[in-house]
Amino acid sequence: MARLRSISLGALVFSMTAVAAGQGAETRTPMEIVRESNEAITAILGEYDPLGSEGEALVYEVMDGVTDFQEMSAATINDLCGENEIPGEKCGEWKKVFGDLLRIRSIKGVGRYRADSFDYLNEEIAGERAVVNTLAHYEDEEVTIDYELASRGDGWVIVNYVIDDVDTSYSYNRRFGRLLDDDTVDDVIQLLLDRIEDFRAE
Amino acid sequence: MRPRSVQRAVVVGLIAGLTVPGPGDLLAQQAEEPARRSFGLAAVVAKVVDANPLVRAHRLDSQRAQIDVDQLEGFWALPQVSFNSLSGVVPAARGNVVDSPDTANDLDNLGPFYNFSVNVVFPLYTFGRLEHGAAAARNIVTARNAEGDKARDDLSLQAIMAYWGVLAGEEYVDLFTEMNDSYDDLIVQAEEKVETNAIDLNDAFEIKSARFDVEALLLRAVQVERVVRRSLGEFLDLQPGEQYDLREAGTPEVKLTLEDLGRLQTIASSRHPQVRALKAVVNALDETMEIERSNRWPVILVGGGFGWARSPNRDSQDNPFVFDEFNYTRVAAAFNVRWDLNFARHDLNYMRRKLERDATESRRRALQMKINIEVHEALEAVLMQQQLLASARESRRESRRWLRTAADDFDLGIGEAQPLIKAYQADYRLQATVIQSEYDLNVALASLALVIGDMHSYLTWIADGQVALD
Repeated sequence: MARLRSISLGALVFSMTAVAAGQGAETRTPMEIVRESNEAITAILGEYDPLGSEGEALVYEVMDGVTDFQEMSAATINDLCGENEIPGEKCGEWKKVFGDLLRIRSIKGVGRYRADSFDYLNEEIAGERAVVNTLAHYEDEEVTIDYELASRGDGWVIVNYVIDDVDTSYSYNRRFGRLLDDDTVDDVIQLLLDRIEDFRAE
Repeated sequence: MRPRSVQRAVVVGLIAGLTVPGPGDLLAQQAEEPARRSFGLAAVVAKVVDANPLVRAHRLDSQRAQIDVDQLEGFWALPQVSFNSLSGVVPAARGNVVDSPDTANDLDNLGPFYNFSVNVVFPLYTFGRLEHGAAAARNIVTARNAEGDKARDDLSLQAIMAYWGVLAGEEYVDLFTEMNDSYDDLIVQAEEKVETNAIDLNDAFEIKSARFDVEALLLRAVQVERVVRRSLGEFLDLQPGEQYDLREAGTPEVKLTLEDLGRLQTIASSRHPQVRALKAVVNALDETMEIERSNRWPVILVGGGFGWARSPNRDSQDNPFVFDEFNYTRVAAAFNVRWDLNFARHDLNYMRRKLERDATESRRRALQMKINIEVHEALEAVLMQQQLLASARESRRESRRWLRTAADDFDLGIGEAQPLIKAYQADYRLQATVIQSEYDLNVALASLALVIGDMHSYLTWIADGQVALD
């Protein structure tokens, strides 16, 4: 039975990543992308407890297929580079490191912050951007999670989250702004690298 | 700068520690426990009211008052009907009044005698005494019922307060248990970090010295929940130590405003049990005034009787003018007019009743004024509690956002430990405030329902999930 579940789970993840890579028969809507990725991750978490390296690899496949962490990082950092006159090369390094951190954290924290279930409420598409409104059900509370997506070729990818009316990208932006009041951008990059190492060691 | 990885380990431990027992643990617990009874709010109120001896006493009072009505209204219950019988021995008597071998002083030749009589007296026309008497009795029944309703409403309020008290207690216990568990994890991790010099010893002392406050909150919550739960169990007439569950009702959405005050006061004037009781007493006194007016007129009665007597050793006397108390058969019917002509006393009795009635009516008006004020106060309390709850929920939403943002920053290595701990403290405090505010609002609504004399509407509000006037 466990073997059968693994096969079906593998098929689900494969279909998610294959379709995300543009090999699907037809383009999925932003809401379908969000829903299917959430269902795939829930299935993985149900199968692998604790997640382990095999489960993490599957989550990476799903996440990478539907999320642009570098775009999320760039949206957070771009204006800070201009305001603080950070050279382009250093700014690029910062964005790359922060994007990597967001990616690894999305895996390491996936079990801890996972909602029990989701209601998919609405989808708004405006040109190259889209927003999917969801309601996440935790054990004793409900939280709105709005996924912001951007068009990429013939598909959509998640580029930001608004959780409980808090814009994640904006929140990181403000936090980095405060850090740069006291620290240099190299200090900040080092913080992020330290954290990546911590996550890898977990 | 304090090593961020160490701070992170401590605080992430705090976050990760916020867990509840898994489903497996709960199932194992349930398997060991006997079946527990479960009550919703309506069932709690119904059971508390039904089981209470005071309510039973009021019910019996009402039944007793109803008997007076039945007597005055019932045709067969109204007449005076009497049966009288006598039997014994008597000396023999032969012959008749002019020729007898016996004398009045003879005591020999004893023989049996027996007689009986049935008499009926029925009021034929009372000039309204019976009708007004019955109406007064009906109003007394209404008053007794209203007094019973008041007792039921008071008990219902107690039951409702206990119900919400137990639910709030459970939520407090859950919240503070979670908080305690998290704090225990934090202390363990802090001690480990002190051993590896990862955090300052003073920081560990600070964390451990606050342990009492966290534990005290839980101990108080457990004790209060236990006391309230046991009190409700006694209210529910459960066996000592019998465990039970409450089915949780949601706090309703309040759609009342101050503009509803007039309608609520109108409802109270017609439904408040004490007002209803006094209205009924006033009506009863109106009827007694009418009875006093009727007393100026006579009462016409009709009566009838049948008598039969036999004594075998005494000769029966056929002469109808001879009174023979041992051998006879009699049938009689008659009209009777009784008239108390002391009109001065009737007038005094009438004035006595009228003054009594007017005084009671004044008391009813005074009560109505008092209740109008109480309705206003109760509505204001509901509206205030509604605002406090909305504010507490909004603040809790903000603390949740603060906590999430602080935890997110910290998890990414770009946040500090102290803001995260402060966010946790604020979030716990506000969760407790929300629990208290929900309890206060639900009790304020029950108090409003009590003062308008409509506890049934309260149960409807809770069942419907909203408070609105029809």
